[in-house]
Amino acid sequence: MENTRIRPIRGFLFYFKIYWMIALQDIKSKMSYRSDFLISTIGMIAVNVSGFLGFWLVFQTFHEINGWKFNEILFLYACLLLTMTPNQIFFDNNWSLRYYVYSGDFVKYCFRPINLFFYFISEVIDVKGFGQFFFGLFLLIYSWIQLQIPVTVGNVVTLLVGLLSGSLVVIALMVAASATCFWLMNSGFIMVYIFKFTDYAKYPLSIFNKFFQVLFTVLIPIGFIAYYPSLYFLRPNDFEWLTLLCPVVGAIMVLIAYKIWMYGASKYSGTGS
Amino acid sequence: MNSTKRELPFRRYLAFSRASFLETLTFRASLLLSLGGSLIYTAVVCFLWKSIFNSAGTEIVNGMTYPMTLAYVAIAGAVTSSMTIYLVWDIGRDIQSGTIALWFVKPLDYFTMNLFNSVSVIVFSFFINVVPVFILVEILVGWQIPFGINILWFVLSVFLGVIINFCLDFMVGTICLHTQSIWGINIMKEVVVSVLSGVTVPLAFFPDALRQVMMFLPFQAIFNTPLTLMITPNPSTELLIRSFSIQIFWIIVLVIAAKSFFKVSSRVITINGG
Amino acid sequence: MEPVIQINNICKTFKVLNRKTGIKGAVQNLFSRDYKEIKAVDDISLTINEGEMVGYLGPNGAGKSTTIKVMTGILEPTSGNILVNGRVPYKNRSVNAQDIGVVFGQRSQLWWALPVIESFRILKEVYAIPDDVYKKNMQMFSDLVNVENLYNKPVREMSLGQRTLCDILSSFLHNPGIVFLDEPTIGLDVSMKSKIRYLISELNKEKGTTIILTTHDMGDVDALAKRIIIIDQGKMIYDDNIAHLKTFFGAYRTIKITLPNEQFDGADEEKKAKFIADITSQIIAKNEKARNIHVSLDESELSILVPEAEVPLIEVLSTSQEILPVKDVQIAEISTESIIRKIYEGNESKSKLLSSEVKEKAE
Repeated sequence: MENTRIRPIRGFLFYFKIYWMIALQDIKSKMSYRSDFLISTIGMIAVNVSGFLGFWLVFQTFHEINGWKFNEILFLYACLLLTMTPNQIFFDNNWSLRYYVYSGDFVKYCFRPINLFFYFISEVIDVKGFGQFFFGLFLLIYSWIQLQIPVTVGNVVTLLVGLLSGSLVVIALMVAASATCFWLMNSGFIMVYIFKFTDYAKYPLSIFNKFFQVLFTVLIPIGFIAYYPSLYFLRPNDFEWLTLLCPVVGAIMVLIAYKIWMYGASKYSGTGS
Repeated sequence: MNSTKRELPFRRYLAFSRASFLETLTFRASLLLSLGGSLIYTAVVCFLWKSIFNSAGTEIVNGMTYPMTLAYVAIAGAVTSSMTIYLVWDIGRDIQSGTIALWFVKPLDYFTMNLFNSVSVIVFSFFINVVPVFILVEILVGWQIPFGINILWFVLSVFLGVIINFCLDFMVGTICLHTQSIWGINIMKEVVVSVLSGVTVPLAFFPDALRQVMMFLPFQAIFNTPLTLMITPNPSTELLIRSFSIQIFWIIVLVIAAKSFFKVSSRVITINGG
Repeated sequence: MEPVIQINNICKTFKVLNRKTGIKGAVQNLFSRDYKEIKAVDDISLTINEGEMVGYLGPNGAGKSTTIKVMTGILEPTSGNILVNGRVPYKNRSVNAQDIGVVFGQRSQLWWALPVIESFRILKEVYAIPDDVYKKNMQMFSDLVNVENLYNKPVREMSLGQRTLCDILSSFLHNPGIVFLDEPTIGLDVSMKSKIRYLISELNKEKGTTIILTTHDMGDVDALAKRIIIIDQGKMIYDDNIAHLKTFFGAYRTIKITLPNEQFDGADEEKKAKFIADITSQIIAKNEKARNIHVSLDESELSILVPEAEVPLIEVLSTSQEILPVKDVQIAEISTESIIRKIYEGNESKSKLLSSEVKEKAE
């Protein structure tokens, strides 16, 4: 028996196939709880609308913030919503991580011959994130038209790359924040705080002083979520060199966050609780 | 049996308060980090509103100066985070898992038990969150926020606001008897409260017509009332009486509403068996 | 026979904070650096051969789950050597996982929202199970237990027993060499328990899978395990077959006395306990040597455990007949449950303190 056992090579296609199988089944089962799905989607859009109201109200009284016009802030906000979407849809199980760790149930994820992070994350797909996606897309198209940004292949591709890098930054921040529960009891508030900070990505970094500009570029790099990528469109003549770095920053951050998470997971089982 | 009658009516509920207070203390590192988060949040708010006021070109907008606005928004943020105790989730889980039935057989009132539980946690985290933020705000604006009797009015009014917020939470939690979607219900409540209470943007910056409507809703009594009392240097007796009577009015209405809604809803449990 | 698990002198220590109680203590805990070390597993060595079915026993907090975690590769031992299927498990968790199956009695590892059959299909991909192996196993499962009607039910809508059944099946799906079952029958009713025991024993027979079974239910041990390992306070205190266990503490036999039915109709626990205490003291009063007997009561059957090295069985029996309204008498060999309890009790008296400390951390 020992000799006949198979040693599969687990590459990208392998994981993609498994994810697809789980996702399909999961969405099917979620759709069967229709009222829950509906209420959650409405709640999600309500959050997005309230974020919009936040600066719309400000612009009712003031006409610009530090040289930034309403439509420009709207563009930033739309980018933020879109970059938040992948994290919302595919990485939502991170919000439950601390409950699994606290109760000891996390151990049940440790016995499969596949990547632990993948196995944990693949368990939940959050369909209400699609509501956020469409609201963000609507705002993006609206502000794009209002700002009269030319529709060229180059611009569209740049936007997609920018959004993708921003998404990676959001995912990395939230993955790292959720991983803190491996060390700290009751660490939910760290996720809540990081989540709150990502909300400030809708304001241009230039309104802050040097200290916070550095903080939001290096330590809690929310500047890379929407601000730096958007500069390419909003300040085409003098965008910062950091804008060009966005994809690299996104990729590196995701890698680091993943390492932290995996290290925490191995440390967790090490404490044995 | 006679001895229990002489006991203070709220004594056994205080035991709950003590227990949850202790529980919070044991989460050690969390406290320090949470404080750091609050302070960074305050600084962010500070720059945001400084930029906004700089762009306006005038000192006073809609009756608010920059120091007043900053104090209002930053303290609102700190009070909000001390009030975030996931009560809707707790009640929702109690209901959906059926453990709520266990509370019915105990000689305790579910509403009162939760109230004491929540208030003690909030009082504790109020001092952890709000005091440092207040000091930071004072430093940022050069001690322009008056520090006197207005603080007393503020604390008193926050306390009433906590009870109003608790009633809303309790009612929203009770809704979970009728739907599976705790997340959706809770998030809608949070959005409504944060927009209509002035946490997102101070009430002073709302369009007039909208503000008139909001003054008739309970939400502004949670945050706007205490915060207004805090930033007003010499509140007139009339303002004080009006503020507190509106808050007390809402407490009476909402306690009755929350309790009766729970009573009506809990019939669903006793009929369906949980 | 090939050894599939080999453990030599494994130790595992944990660091825990010395927590103080009360409000003042809670404040002190905020800044405390006062740690103490606790040995959850203390110098354990054992060898398990292919196809064996081993009962792994011990009181709560004895270090059972820590050992299991070491064997499954999610925990690295502080010292000592371990080989599972010829590999060091903690060095390659994921490769080791391909060859083992793990079931927790109350923590389903199946996808909560999905129908069981979908979970199985996903596992087929996860473990890269060839079509023919998958088909053969599914066929065997339905021959053993009638489960097809469950396959389309989501796990969250299942009863605990149905869930456990499916979890056990899923752990055998990829033909693992070793399966770890952690309290598989906990919380189940009698008929479900026997169904699950039947399933486990058949799977062990047909597939030759090595099975490590942790349990508190001696029914599981009697029905399944030929060899048992007992650990307590991190130390191994017994490792041999069950037959040998019965002579471990010298000769014991049990006198089972059936009392008239109406004797305890509607009697509460307190009254029963008082009755037991009363009978015990009466017997000891008449036979001084009988001070180590153990009396227990189940429905209307009274059991008296007699250490025959100390007091002749016949003397206790005659005393009992004098003082009790006897309807029927039976003499039985000691039950596994009684032996295990005696082993736990004997060990506990050595150091009560340590065991409560280990319990905090290791479970």
